[in-house]
Amino acid sequence: MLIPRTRTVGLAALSALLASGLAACGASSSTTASSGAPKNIVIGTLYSGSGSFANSSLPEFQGLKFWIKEENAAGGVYVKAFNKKIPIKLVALNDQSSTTTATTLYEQLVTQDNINIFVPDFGSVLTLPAVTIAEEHHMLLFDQTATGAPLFTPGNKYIVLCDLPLSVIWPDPLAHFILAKHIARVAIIYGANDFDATQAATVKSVLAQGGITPVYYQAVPTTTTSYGTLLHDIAATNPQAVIELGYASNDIPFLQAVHQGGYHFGMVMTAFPGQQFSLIEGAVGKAGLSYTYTYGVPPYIKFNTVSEGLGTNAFISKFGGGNIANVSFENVAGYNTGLIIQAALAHATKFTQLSMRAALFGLSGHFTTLDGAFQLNSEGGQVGELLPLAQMLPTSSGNAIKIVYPPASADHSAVYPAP
Amino acid sequence: MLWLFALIAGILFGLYYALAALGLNLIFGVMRMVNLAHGDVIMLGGFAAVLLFDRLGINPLITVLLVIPPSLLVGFVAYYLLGTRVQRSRDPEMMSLVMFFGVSQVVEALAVIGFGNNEASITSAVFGSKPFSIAGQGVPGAWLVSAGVGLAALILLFVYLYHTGLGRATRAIMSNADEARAVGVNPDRISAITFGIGVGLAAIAGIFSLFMIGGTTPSEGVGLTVTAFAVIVIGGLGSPMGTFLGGIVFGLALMFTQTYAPVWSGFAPFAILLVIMLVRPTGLMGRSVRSV
Amino acid sequence: MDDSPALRISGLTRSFGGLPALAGVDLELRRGEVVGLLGPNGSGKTTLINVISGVYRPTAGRVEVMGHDATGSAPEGLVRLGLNRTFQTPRPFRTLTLRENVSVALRHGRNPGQSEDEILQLCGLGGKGNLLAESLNSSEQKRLDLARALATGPDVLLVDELAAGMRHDELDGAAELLRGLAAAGRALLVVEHLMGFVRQVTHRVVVLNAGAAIFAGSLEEASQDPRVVEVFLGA
Repeated sequence: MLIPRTRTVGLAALSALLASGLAACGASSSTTASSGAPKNIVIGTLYSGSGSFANSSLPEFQGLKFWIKEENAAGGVYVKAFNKKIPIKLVALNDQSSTTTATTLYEQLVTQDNINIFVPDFGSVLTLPAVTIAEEHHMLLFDQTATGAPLFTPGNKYIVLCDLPLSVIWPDPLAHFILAKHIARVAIIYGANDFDATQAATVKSVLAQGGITPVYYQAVPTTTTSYGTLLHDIAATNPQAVIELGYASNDIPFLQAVHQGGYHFGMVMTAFPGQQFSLIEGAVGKAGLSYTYTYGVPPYIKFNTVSEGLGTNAFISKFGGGNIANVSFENVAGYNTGLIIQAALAHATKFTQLSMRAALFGLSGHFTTLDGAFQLNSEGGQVGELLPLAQMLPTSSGNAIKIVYPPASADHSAVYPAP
Repeated sequence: MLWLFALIAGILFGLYYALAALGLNLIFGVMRMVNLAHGDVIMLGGFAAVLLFDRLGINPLITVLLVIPPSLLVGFVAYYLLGTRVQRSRDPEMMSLVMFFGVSQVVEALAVIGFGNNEASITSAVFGSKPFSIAGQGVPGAWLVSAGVGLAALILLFVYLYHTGLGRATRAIMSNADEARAVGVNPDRISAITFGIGVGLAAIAGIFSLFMIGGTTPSEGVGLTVTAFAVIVIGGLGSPMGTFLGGIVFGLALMFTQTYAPVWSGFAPFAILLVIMLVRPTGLMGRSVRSV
Repeated sequence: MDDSPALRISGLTRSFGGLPALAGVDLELRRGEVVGLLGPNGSGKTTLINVISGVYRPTAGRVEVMGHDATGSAPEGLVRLGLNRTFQTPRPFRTLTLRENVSVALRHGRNPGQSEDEILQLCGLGGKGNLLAESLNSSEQKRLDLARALATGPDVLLVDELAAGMRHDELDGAAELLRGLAAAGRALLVVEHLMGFVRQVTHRVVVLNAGAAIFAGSLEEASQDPRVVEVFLGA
């Protein structure tokens, strides 16, 4: 690819700025000399147009684009440092779910595309390469949905988690539900990856506080798609509750295998039906999902009193045409990323990466969106948006996702044991 | 009796894995081409079953019959369009890798456009919602159906190869293509038929991947090709009957590690592959395919 | 039709990377005739067989089989015109039985009206139909190669060193077999080094040297021809 000369100069200027430790926003070539305000706020991101992450990445990307469209329709996003609205320009590249491609494209975004805001692709796997690149280039990474604890380190100032809590706290309500229901025999099977292993460890340690040791506690490869034999072995331990912590590509064959093998447990819990409800229900059938549990996520947990952007119902009506079935968790997540960016720009006193970060830490704990309470720990990890426990309950028109625990956010009581 | 269930499950999955790998090995044996789009054909077979079931309520067992004619046609066209070029190149094995890698990418991209990125499946209740009892172990009906079709395909292929004229000519080409021409066999015709059969076997395997590996998604092709390749290397390259053994070894390795050391279950079948490669480089039933 | 040659080659030339391996060879074979193809190693005998049988395309020249132009035809096309060959190093279908080996040829060639077992019997492999080809010794493999070639029903048969590797007590039978094939109306071109065998089998010989035919006539005349003597003895 040929890089125009002027752009190369811009690059050199950018490198100089970065080297001097100023950590300024990318010196966009469209910067006007007079006010110092850029013509556009350039957001750089990746999405997976194909491959294993596409079914999560694309809806998340749609959510982000929806936010950009909304803002630009209103004349742009408000930037406090310049006290004016500035239109948003999006640079989005397709990594096809490949970490190698993603690494190259992240480098390209921060070194060549003069971006001001750096947003990674969906999930831990594709976000990981962006973390080091962001830190090296002193760009604040608006991490959307990568929640694995290893991504957040005390020394790295250049990351904030926008749309999900750290995975280590996801199963907190789940584990407490088990204790509350006095379920003594618990089987846990989880994917051998950071995301699932941290969740499993959390459940195990919370249960230990209640004096419960799982009757089955095993990691399986993340690539596992045949659960029949594993389930047979789990059933041999005679559990009341079976918790499977994996990705959607694990949850589907797991739920199928439960159904296929004619197993009946008092409680079956999988991670993703809440986030990818229609996909998983389509694959395993309504009966295969009925009475199972999952993490409750927006839009099934509703936040209509918000300090920024649309509330849940307003979003469902504007984005989903009033039908919650048209709105996935990823749509909300992508939109929420936009809202966090919006808040950072609206509160940062200087147009720099660290000033945006400081603004978000200032908002932490005092800020609510349709994704819940925004609260950061010292490493930029999200600890505000708790995931309650949800259960899929059959209705005449299919399963409905009902929040069943903790009692404070529950809109239905759990049906335990499953009939 | 965990071991007994693992044994039964291993054999049933083994038959499924053999079915999933059979077409790849048949095509390799006859044409010395590695069809890297094999897994993508399996994926398409899965989507065919899902669509026909969702839209028209067609039982997956009927779909087995329905996919055969289009598969043969696709195999014919693919062979005459691509295969003949690969065959006439200087290094058909390498050329086939490049060519079918491209085909695989295109098929995956088209599948994304056509079916979306979502994982699709059929509820396994179509084969009965109650498990069947085998030696006192409850085994899902869908496993039995999948394994049964796998076994039937193996037997039919055996009959075709060993008891029909076309099959004998096919084996003659597998033994030595130049010699086969020297006695009047038209290798293009046999190769095209073989390609069609290979594609058909893959598509049939795809129907049952819905029940054995939970579903189908456009991106699963590459992984399935790798699995199928492992199975045929264990059993022996170019030996369709070795594929039967390779599938069983693969299935047993998977199910026994799932039972006794689940975290190693993704690794164990490939560890066995490595051991077999060291002890018997041609695979369990394989012959050296590059000499002569 | 009967007096037209079964095989006629004219001006047949084949170069490998600019080096001529065959330089304008002319040859005619009639039905019922066995012609010996002689020459020192590297003189082009096997190349000539390979070009006639379609393994290599000729660089120039013409091949006619039973009056039809067969220049540059693929092996399977030549089989249909009525020409087949055996190999110096036979490569039977190792994983097929002897009967299956012959059966493939019967089915895809011009069926000579004999059964698999009859052809195997004829070639001295009677009773071995169920053995796998890979279990045969080299002499038996040559017989199987011949059986397979015969099963395609050829009018013209090119035989590349059948006797090499056979035991002495097998040679008479092999010679008788080849004479019998010719007597039944086939034309045979036989490459052979064993002079006794050549004398037993052939009606006349052609001598190649450096890709060119330097002599055609009877074996006796050849042994007195100074050019032939020079080529073989290097005088």
